[in-house]
Amino acid sequence: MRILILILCGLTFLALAMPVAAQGKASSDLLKRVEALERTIKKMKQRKKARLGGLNQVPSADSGTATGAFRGFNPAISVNGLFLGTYRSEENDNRNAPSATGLKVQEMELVFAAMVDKYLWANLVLSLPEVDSIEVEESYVDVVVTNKLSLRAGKFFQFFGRHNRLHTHQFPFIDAPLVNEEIFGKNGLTEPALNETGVSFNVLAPVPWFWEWNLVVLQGNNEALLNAPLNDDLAYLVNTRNLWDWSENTTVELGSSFLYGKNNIGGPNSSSRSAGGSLQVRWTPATRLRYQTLIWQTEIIHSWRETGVNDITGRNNSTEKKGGIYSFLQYKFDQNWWIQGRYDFFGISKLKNEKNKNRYTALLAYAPSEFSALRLQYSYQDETVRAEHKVMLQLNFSMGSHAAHQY
Amino acid sequence: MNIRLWLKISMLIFAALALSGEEAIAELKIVATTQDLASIVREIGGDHVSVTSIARGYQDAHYLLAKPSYMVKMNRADLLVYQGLQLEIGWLPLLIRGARNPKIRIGQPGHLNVSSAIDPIEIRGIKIDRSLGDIHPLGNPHYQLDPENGILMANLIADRLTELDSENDSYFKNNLDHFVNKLEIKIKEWRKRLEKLRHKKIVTYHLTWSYFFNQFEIDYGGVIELRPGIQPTPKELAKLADKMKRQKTKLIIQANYYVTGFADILSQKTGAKLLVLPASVGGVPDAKDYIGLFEYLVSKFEKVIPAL
Repeated sequence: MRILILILCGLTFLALAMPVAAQGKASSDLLKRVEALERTIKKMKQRKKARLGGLNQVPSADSGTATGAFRGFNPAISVNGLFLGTYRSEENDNRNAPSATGLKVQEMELVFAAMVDKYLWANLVLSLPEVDSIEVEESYVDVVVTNKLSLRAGKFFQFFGRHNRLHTHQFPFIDAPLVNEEIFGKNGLTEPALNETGVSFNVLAPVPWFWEWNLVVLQGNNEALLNAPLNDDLAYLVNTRNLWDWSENTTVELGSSFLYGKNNIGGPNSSSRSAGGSLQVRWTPATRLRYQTLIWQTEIIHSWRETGVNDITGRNNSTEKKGGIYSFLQYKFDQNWWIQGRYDFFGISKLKNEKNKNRYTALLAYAPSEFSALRLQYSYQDETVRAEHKVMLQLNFSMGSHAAHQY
Repeated sequence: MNIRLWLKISMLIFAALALSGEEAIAELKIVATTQDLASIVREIGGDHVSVTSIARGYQDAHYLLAKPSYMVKMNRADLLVYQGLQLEIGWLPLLIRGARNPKIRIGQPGHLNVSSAIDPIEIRGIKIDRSLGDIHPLGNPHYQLDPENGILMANLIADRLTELDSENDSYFKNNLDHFVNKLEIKIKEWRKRLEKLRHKKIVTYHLTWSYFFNQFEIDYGGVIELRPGIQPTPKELAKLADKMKRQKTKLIIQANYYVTGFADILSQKTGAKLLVLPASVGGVPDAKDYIGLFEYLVSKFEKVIPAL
């Protein structure tokens, strides 16, 4: 009997304990499933957040105005200002001398840039030289046709050499190199040289380094070199640019440019040509010393301008040849300071009665931030009559959303 | 010199280059702006991606030069991955235009702003101007320094890789799960190891460490570069030194791409220890990947905790 009772108790115990054990096991399984579900939900939330985030544009800082007009589509607008003080040792009795001694607002420049739609990017640059007139300095659209070919159409600084592409506030020195002024024309300190309306076809070559080709069809209005008398005489420009990463800190760039078009000097068959080469070596440490930079840049330009046929002899007049070179070295030794020096020589070829021109320039700059700089420049030039000393002090500042400058 | 002949030859070369075709390659070509992003892309993409990074880990990504050689990399990319919040605003737009690659332009699947995955902090909004320095109105862009943000970044990147290469969807998902699980375990471990750093005050050179401080509950004791991008004046440095002495702040940290001159002066004036650290993958050789970066940072902090 006792054994029976014991057996019955044992069986009862087992009957009670098994569900508890099973419950314990079930709870443990349940807990694991809950934890797994929590992890899955967490991952789903993360993925949803990431997916929604991927659909969102970067939030606009300004959503609208009282009129309901949405300012988010407005172009990026920026203003560049150049204030200049000049002392020249010569021509102080000539009130109309270019780059005369005195103070002036050298230029204000207004830039608008935006994506027009999925295909076009547009840029408009208005210049107010000495703030007494306004002109369209550049107005063009860029479109990427394939990943090799892009187009630019409009009015823009032509892809001839390195210096010609620059706006005044981007000039490494306060003035342009002598050779650019002599060959493409000069008009004080603000007028760019070869600035034409045209269409540019641009190709990035399928090679491991940067090798760019530009083929440009220009209107050909440059008065110093082109300006054909007939409407259907366009001008043509080919430019190539190669850039190699010599090391992580150093790049070497080699460029060449060729220009051809008709001119208005010697009749409809007179043509002008120009060729140029440029070299730039730039050292900028990648690491903590990144504020230091050393740049050496040299450019050589030569032009040939046919002057037509002599009416009496029937022979070709002599071709006007001009050529010059400049070379500068810039050393940035601190976050805010740099010095540089340039040598200009014009006379590789020159007109009959012209003398060689040599100019030596030194500049010291202080930039308290990326958006402003004060530059002090001294130059010495041996001119036709007397050598000239010139000292210039320029304040260069930028406000608004201005794109980075070309490398 | 026959320039007309040169022009004709040039046009022929030009036409040949413009019409040259591209070889088809199976893997996705990805360009990331930073090595942190590149590291996460590699974790997810594995063998099905080839990744290159523009900025090196020891470089300040605010101030890169828009070298044309970067355009060459971007010209061939299927996907551009960037940090955003205007970290790269000084150079990336120029590179995107110069790359001439329709696939990576804004609005295309090949254009990925990773900041859209995270909740930025220190948003300044529209009431700003440049007298405040080089600030980021949309938020602090150094969000990769919170490892929990790394999970969000990885999810977004995985989604985009799947969109571009749906055939390898499950491969990317497996890699993502593996990476996220590993990171979650490490985050718990790092929080435990840096527990004694909670609520300690640390001075930094720049606001690089905000997300890191948030994650590990560390407080800012001050910032040397009071206005971002603008060097401190002697008066500002002296004021900060006094504040450090009052608060008994014993540690200064800065990213290794900044000069240490100002931090050295502060360290001498206050007796605080200066720790120069990588702020990005690749910033030091030991920070080989995203998890490796935090492992390096946590081990460096662990060593100085006893002195705080």
